[in-house]
Amino acid sequence: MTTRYRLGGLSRLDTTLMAAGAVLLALLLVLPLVASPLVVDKLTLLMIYVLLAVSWNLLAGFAGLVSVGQQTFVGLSGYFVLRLVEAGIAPLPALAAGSAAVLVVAWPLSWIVLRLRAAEFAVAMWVIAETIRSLVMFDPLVQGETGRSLMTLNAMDADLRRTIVLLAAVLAVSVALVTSYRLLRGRLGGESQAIRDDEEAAGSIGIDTLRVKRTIFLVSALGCTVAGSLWLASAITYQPRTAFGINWSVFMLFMVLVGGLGSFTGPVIGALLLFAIQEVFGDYGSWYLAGLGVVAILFALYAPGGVVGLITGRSLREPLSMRKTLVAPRG
Amino acid sequence: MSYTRTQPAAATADAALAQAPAGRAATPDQPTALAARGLVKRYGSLLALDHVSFHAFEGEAVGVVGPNGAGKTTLFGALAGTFPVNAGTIRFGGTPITTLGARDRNLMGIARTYQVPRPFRDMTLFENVLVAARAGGGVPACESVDHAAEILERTGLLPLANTPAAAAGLLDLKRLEVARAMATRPSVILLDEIGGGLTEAELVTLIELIRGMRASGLTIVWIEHILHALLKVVTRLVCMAEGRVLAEGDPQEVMSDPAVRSAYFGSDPS
Repeated sequence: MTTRYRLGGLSRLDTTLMAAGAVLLALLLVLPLVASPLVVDKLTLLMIYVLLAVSWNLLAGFAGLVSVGQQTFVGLSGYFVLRLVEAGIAPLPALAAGSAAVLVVAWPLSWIVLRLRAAEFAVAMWVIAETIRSLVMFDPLVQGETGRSLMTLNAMDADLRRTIVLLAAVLAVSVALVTSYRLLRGRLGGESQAIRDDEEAAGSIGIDTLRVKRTIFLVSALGCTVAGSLWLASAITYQPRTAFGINWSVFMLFMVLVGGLGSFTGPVIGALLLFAIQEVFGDYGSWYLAGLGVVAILFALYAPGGVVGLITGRSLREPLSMRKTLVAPRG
Repeated sequence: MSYTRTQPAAATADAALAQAPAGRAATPDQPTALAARGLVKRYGSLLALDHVSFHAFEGEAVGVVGPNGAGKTTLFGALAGTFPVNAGTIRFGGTPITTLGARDRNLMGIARTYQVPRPFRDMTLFENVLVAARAGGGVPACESVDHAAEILERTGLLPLANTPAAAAGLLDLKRLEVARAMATRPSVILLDEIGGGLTEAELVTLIELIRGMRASGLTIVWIEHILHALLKVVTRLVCMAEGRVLAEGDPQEVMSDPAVRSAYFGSDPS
């Protein structure tokens, strides 16, 4: 059979954005050579935000799984790293292994929570985050509220540690962007969006809804655990209240809702915005958090498509859209 | 109209088998594509399916009629595995499928449409059909674009291929229901009131489409209120009322059956 129809390819804007993104990430790799430690730390934080936003958007924007408990994975990875280091494993391998180990918890968890629908799932995830935090606080190593520092990591040369953490963060963001792009452009992307739009109808056309949701859930959880490890590596101190804090969910919600739920570029834009807002208003403490909430609510009410929606609302094609367009044969 | 019965119905499949009309069972020389016996579906005290037996031979086109609330759509839900039934058995070919879910039944070859369209709203019509072709139809990636385009063409949706379902009108969404079900490459297709609201010219196109499906060997079960369209396609008619099968058989005979006329036009048709 000769192919008559084909899928629309990338626009010039798409390829330009991809190239620009790749160049920016590559620049970040050499930045530690010239930048001050403070700048390196801040850019690491930005990378962590991008990672969290991309992960949450994958879950909520593409599979319709709105969770306010992804801090479970942020907090758990830090705890696992702490335990592994305590067991005598060198800090850098422990950071990698700690991230992976969280999947041992996320996988069985997915069997339970993915049978819940909508709000039940969202709340269940929060309850799970709080429950696991309580359990972690029972561990004498963590000393309840006090927390614990990663002494061995602190013993490393500070500049070297910062450089390694930034490089790892840039690598993690690159992998997350490329992986999620490929996943969403492929079969899984269409199936997860179908589930998001109508789960029953998705089952009726042969989609394995549980398997698709589990795949997305685990990939998203992995993103959050890597973010958690990176954050521990740059903060060094582990405190359960912060690591399992609801703030993570507030940030993820803010970044994705303001950037553009269900778009590929939205979470990246949202992460940049959150980062910029923190730089300017971060000193205002709780007022700043309240401000974040107000902005998120305003966007949810008046611009549900976020910044990306505002741009594409003006008849511009969505940049790096996940949409598959049918193109008729020429002639 | 009420589903509530004063007499509790016999709850076992065996009792249902005894009640099933004997003369209508599949003959050995004509294999059945889909056969259900003694289906019971309760919603609280509501008896939506009251020991319903139903079958469709391979390649046959069966029409299902009946007043609103007769249980026609519930029968489709039961056949497609949208929900489990309280009693009864369903066979696909020779295989029991009563306990299988909607996904497994679709993969085996049963596809359904929804009376009230349930499109994937934030996806385009093309994406709706494409995802069905890949998942339920098992069409490999390299062929899926052409497969989806061909179905959009057959259902008259090609000009709207890249329109989001949320922006499409009701008639196009009804067409999309058919297109999405067809894309899963079924051997049995359950069509639920897809003709409602169409103009005469559009009905002609729809009838052509369904005749084409039948010519390609598909078994068709079609719920429809527009009788003259239905009768142009189906060779057997099942009439339901209040969760039961009132009559079945030759379409003209069924429509002239006193019980059917009474259910449709009230107790006194004169």
